[in-house]
Amino acid sequence: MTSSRLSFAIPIVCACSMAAIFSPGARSQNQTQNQTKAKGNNLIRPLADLEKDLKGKLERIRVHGKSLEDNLEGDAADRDVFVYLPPSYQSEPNRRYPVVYTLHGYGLHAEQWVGFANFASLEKDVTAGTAKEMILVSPDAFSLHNGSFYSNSRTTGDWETFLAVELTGYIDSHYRTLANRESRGLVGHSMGGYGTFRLGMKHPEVFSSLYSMSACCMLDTGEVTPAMTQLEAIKTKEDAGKLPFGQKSPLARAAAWSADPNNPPLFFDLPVKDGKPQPVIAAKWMANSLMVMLEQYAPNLKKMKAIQMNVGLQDALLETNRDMDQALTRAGVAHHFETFEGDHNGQVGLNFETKVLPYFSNQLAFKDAKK
Amino acid sequence: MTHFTRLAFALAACAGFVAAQTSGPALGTYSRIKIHGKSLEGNLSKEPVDRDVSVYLPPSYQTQSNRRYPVVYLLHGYTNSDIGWFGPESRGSFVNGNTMTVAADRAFTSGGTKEFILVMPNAYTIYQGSMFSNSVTTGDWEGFIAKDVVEYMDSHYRTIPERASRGLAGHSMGGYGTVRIAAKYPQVFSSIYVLSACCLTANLSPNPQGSAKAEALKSPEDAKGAERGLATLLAEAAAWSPNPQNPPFYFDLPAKDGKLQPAVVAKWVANAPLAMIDQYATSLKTLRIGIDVGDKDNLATSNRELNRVLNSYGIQTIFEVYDGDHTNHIVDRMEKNVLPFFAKNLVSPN
Repeated sequence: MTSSRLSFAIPIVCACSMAAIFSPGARSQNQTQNQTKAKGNNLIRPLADLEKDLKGKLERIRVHGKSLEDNLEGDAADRDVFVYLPPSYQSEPNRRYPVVYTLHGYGLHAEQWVGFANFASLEKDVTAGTAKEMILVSPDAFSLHNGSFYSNSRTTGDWETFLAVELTGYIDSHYRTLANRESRGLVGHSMGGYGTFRLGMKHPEVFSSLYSMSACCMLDTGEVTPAMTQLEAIKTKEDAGKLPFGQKSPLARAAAWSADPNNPPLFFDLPVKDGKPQPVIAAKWMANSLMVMLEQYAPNLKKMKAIQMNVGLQDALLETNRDMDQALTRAGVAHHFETFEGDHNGQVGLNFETKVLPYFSNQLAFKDAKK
Repeated sequence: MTHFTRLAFALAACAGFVAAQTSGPALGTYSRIKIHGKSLEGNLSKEPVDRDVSVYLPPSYQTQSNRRYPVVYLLHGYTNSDIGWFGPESRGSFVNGNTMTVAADRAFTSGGTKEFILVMPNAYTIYQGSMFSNSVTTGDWEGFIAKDVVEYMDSHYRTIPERASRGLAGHSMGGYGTVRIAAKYPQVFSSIYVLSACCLTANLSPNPQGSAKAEALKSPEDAKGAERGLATLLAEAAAWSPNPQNPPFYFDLPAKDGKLQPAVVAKWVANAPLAMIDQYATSLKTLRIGIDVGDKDNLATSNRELNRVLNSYGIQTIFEVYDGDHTNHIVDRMEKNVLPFFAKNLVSPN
């Protein structure tokens, strides 16, 4: 495989390899990657194609993240952000809109996510009467190791504050938004589903409705596998850069969840050292798992107007999502859980069009409550 | 001051009178009030939601009726209560008339320490301590301290209702609570002081025997008077692994029938500051932080580690390991270190 082909295949391989990594029992990684590559290329609609028929406007802007400044692994603090403005945004200059913030999965850039979720389907929905015009925002969270996990880490930056405070603040001050929690939704897929729950737990004052699509990272115990032990050999950014894509995710998680400012040049600790498990580090990974954060943040999730989660019946993350559904029920957090025929990636576009956008059209406030 | 005059003074204060001092400098006013905990409503342990709270108003509060004061919120340790610090049920270093009230009077009348209000809610529960955590079973103690108690104080007393003028400190379980509440509510407090904090280290392999003893209990009432080890386990389970579908205790234990329960162990782990503070480094960096621990306290190692981790994030701390054990110098540390720390760091107009 040439390097150019590899990089072209990255987003598709990655979004899927996540599921492979989280399910040791899944088919061998190469097999999974090859199959999804072929399928996956059709799943991500190229931006040029997407924009062709668009009546609204898709803007690519850059937003500075003060909370991301000086992150130790050197990720950019100026982030690409895609903003979709519906058709009436131009023709009705006094109208204000709800905003849905959308979080992409591991290994993707925002640009690919816009085509993966297919933002253009909002216009199809509006024509069909199943959704209303709103603003869609997609921040880029690609990092040195291919994904920030939307966490709060000295090594990758404080993504929670960047998204919940700085990005929402920027969008509210630069676009005609309905700048209140009742009109703000949050949705994400896989790593983005994780980010959706995580941000919802920590910032109920910002968002009122959540939609988690096939979320990852429900309970990550930092288990020491042979693959994990092999990662001990990775000492530099260059080493990390040479790793096959499917093996990088533990590095991204270590950067997000077990930062160590005293351990250059990668500035993190792995849950294994010299072949031995490191309980202190494993504990940090556990502490970032949604299933265990839930107990502490249940009161915040209870403030949500609505929480929806889904997962495919053929997704390796099915069981962990079922566990989360039950844990939410046990904790008394009102929510809806839905399964669908499909795997981790195949139904993202369809679900975004037929489930996610109609959901936010129902849940968000489309009128300014103050008026 | 003799025990008798202190008592008379306290009675007068409780009755709403300004205590008239016949000689010596004016002293502070102690009272025990009730604060409703909205955040504690519906807790499954049926803990009272109207909590006793000790309030100490500094000497000039009664004479300078327009003056506003910073507030330091205090969190007591496990098995203790607010009246273990302020009396009359004094414990540990606070015995023999050396209550928190007396220590505060000394600090504020010696001239060196700027005055502020002290507040300590009673966090004694059916299992002898709330752990100051956030649980549907024990209640949301983080919210109770950082929102309910703070809002009550700001609306009923002449406080300076701002972050820059609010401090948080605690001992042992209260030191643990101080770390976690400050991490989650950095917008409420600007300075914290952690004394001999417990529960810092994650335990990935707790002894299943402990759970066996707890499993033998039939109802929460049986837990009354439980020995400390068992009671601690119950308090931690209620705080860290609540389960609304598991009556009558409404919590899960880290082991069941002698086998560890990894999902429950993980929840306990997630409540250990040394496992979770990495996520809160940005919050903690906005605070002024003091930490101390006795050199004969078996928690010295974990408190050193807490300090090391904070420093590794560039978070400045004042850290001291002093000659002492877990409890024998707390009232002295409060008077000579903690109160001066807040006097220096909290913003006060006077």
